[in-house]
Amino acid sequence: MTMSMSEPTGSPAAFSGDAEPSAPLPEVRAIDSRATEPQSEAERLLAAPANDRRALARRLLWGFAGLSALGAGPQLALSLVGAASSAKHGPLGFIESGVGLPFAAALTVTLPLPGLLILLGMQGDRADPRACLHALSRAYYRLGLVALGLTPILLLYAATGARDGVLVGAVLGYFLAGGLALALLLGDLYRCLPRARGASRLLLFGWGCFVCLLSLYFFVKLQPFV
Amino acid sequence: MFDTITMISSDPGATATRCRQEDRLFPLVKTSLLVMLGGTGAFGVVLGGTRDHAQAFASLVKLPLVWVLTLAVAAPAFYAIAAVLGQPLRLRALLALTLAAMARASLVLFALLPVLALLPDILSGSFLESSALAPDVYHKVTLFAAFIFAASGLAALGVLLRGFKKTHTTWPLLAMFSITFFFVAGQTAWSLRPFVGRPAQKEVPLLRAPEGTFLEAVITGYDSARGHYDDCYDAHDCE
Repeated sequence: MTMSMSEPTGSPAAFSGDAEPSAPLPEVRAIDSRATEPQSEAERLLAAPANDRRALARRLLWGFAGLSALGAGPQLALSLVGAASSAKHGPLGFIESGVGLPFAAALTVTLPLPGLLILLGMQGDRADPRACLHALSRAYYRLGLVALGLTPILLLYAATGARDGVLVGAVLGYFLAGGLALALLLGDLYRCLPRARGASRLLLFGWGCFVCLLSLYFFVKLQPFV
Repeated sequence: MFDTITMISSDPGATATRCRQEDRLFPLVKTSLLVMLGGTGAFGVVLGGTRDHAQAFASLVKLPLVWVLTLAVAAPAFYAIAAVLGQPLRLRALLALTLAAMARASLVLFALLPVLALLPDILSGSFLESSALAPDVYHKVTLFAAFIFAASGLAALGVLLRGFKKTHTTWPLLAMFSITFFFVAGQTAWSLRPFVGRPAQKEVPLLRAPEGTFLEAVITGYDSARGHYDDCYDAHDCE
């Protein structure tokens, strides 16, 4: 007879000769306590399976919203405090900034992806495109989430006299958050590979470097305040 | 409430677990908030009191405000960073954890208050007679206050560290939290200055006009400490 972990230590099973030790191991206790902890919305969205369309839509929406806030928020705050010298004025300028950044980020990772899949397939490491797109949506969500988190800090700086330095902060924030999201994306893509060869790792690294370059290009092309 | 304060000060592990599991969060948050407001307010009174009573009252209000504003502005970034680096904490749990950490830091501030209160008199050598703050003592007092804040920050990190799942990203996460907190708290405190007031000034304003960022001020202060003074105090007026 074996005792389950949920049985009380005072139960008959606990006193029988073939019972397992009543106190669970520390690791088991730790896992149990983690299991009872409430899960955040972000964790749920990141852990959702690839075929969950609703989670995909929410990830993309949050990503877009976060990048829009980072694109337009600092400029808007600067114009509100009357410190915008280089920023475009008028609602059209803010809309352009708000839409430019999410599109720049989306184009940066989606355009070179087919090429990566082709090259990986040519060396026998054919990744599932759906899993790769899932990884991309997770990266977009992470980027948007960090961008959304950075926006109030930039607004604080804009409201307390930082002037155009806020725009530099927004650019730095975008690239730092993008670098973090890209690093995690490369890890996700590597886990999508069926054979995970050393050459594939090298190819992913090269692809990451190219994405960095492309992000600069699209940022300069699509962001009006640059 | 005293049990909760004891838990926050002496058992950061239990505090962190309670936040993570969202177990009786309301009393914990309420106590943390009161401790934070009380600790930083008392610190403000003593820090501003090194000058005069009016400054003590101003700092009593402004110093807790710095922490509350910092928490409000940095909370979304904390949540985003934690989520991206694989910590499944909900926003309310993370806020409670950060508040508890700030409360622990405030307890350290409160514990070191007598030292700060005595320091100006020790440095100026006037135990019996109260005298105005001398410029060299002013710089030492503000520097010492900064050291106390740094020490309290270490106490807060103890709670945060225990609140996160142990993975290979835990230390980078703590570093990002610290950097974010540094940038937000620095700018908030810079915007709500002065807390002591320069000894050369006869009257200290409640708030100074916005003058760039605190990072620029740190660079200017570093240059001044090395004897390099800028003729133009406000760089924006020189343009």
